[in-house]
Amino acid sequence: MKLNSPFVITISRQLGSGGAYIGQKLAKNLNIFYADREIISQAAKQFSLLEEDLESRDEKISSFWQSFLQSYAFTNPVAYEPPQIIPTDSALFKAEKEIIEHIAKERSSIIIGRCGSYILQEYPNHISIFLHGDVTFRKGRVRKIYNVSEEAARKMIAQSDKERALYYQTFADKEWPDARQYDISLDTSKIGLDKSVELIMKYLE
Amino acid sequence: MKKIEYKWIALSCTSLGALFSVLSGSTLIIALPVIMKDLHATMNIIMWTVMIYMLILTILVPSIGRVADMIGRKKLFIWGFIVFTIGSVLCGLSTSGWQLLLFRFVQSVGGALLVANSTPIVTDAFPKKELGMALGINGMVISVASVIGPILGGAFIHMGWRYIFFINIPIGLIGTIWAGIQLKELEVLPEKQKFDWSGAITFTSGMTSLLLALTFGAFYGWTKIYVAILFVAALLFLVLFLFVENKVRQPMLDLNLFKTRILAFAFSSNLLNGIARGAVVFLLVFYFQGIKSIDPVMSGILLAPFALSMMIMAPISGWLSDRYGSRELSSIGLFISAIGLLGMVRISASTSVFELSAWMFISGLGSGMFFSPNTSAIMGAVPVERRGIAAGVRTMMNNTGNVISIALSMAIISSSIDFKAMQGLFSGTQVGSEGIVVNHFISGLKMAFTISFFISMLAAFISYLRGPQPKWEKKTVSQSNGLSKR
Repeated sequence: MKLNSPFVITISRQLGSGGAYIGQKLAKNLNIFYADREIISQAAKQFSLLEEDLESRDEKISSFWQSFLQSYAFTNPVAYEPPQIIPTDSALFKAEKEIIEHIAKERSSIIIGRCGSYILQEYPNHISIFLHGDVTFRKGRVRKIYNVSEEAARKMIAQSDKERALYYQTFADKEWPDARQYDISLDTSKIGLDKSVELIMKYLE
Repeated sequence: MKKIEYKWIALSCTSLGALFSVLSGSTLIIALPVIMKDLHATMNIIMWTVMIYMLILTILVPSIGRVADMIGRKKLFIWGFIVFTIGSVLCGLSTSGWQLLLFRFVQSVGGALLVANSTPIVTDAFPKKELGMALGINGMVISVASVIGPILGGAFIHMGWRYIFFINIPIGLIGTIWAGIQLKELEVLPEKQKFDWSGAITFTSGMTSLLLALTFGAFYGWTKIYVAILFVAALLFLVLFLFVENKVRQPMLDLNLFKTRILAFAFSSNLLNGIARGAVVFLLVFYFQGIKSIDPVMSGILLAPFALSMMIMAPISGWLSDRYGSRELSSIGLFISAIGLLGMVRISASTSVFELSAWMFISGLGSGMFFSPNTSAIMGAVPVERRGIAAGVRTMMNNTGNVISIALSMAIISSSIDFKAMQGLFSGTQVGSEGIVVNHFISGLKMAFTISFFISMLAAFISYLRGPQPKWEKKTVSQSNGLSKR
């Protein structure tokens, strides 16, 4: 792949595997745009919401009962409805998809998560990367980053893996950790974060 | 941990308040013919007992939100329960139509306090990620109350129509005590809010004049001088209202919202939809009990499809709007609602009640398809800080439409039937040729539904004129700051 034409790198990652760290390093080395929180920030603007309103729903699927009950939030014509927009999961995904597609068209960039690898699968000059690691390694990173206990880190990892897998399954209709759909799949717990950055840079060259 | 428990308590208080407020309206409507007979009240007084509640909510609720930050939402919410309960007791003890009207006014003030404060209390109590579900539960409670209300009302009538109001006493007492003990006061916003007195006065004067003009014209004759004066007064006050709202810093109705095309057309279709369907249940109550001589419980059951279909449509509409956008869905919804109204034009003294229920169901499906996407479109077209105002305008348009609908429908019907004859038809003291009176009433009903059909079609057209939802502006995305931890 030639680096002198616009390109996009999507990074799908397990919690604690170093997705953000590696993504930011790559962006710095390649001098390209890094898109992570910016995606949710732009989605929030699109819905006239605050970023914090959407953070808790990022890359997550509402349960059936949550979605079902939420559909009644705006139905009553005579009651005074809340000044809230509560986008459905589909509406939120659609908004983020548009944002990701726009970023990819506008400039070379690194896009973190949000089914980016699926959304841009037909995009020319696209490289998809999946980062994973063993639980021990990831727990250690999560404990350090979030300053939580080992048990809390374990629960965070289990929940995140479940939520991201469900999110990906819902919108991409594929198994999230299936390496066959990515150009590169790296076990960062074995290779190390900086070495992973080196390997990806070599591949890009 | 305490907050996790508190949120459900807060929701129980607000849901009880919402249930209380909506049930009182939906149980009352089924009892109107019985109340009219028992209190020897005139048709226009009975109409006003329904209209005044909606009118007061329309006027007070947008403004209560503004002043609540100064006084405290919890206090106002509890006062809502107290005032509503007192109003209910007084309504139950009424010995004349005028007394009932006056005490319904009291009840409506309580209802406005409950309605205006319930959603901010829920919004404060729940974390963001659960807010949709919590508001949905509140909304579902209201939907269920709309469905079961007429049926419950019919059941209470067997004990006596006054029990429709007396049942509110234990609910009101429990609500007052429960909210008093459990609710927490919300944080007061730093910005001072003001009650829009001039807007409220001009709007109240204008709307009251208009509704009185329609009512008096319908029942006493359109050529009366005081009817003409009332129409002129209505026009003047409403024009003055628009002028005032343009000048006031914190208006009840922010006219700047209408400068955006999508909002102007969305609000207009709300108003027209309210006018088209606001009187349907009211008219059918008199048709079922007056013409068909159906008992109140059965009448309540036959009216349930209208609210039930809206309830069924809610989750489906949400699913559809993700795929097809608000413009098409809202417009198709209004079209379907119009079809239901067109079906009701077939009404006659011998029409099967199940056929009417089916048309009601269709009309309700259409309305259910319209509301959610239309509301989403409105909310999506305004910045964060103006959403509260936009939400208030949306409901104000709908409620105003509903009130006008009742007055307009009765004005249309009364053009086909003599006032005294209509009064006699529903008070059970028919004189002269009963067949002719019934036919005249049916003729008026057909005309009212026909006009409702055309208004609904106009609403569908105007809804479509809103144009596509504005696309997210594709501006250059700047380099993000700060490191992500993950």
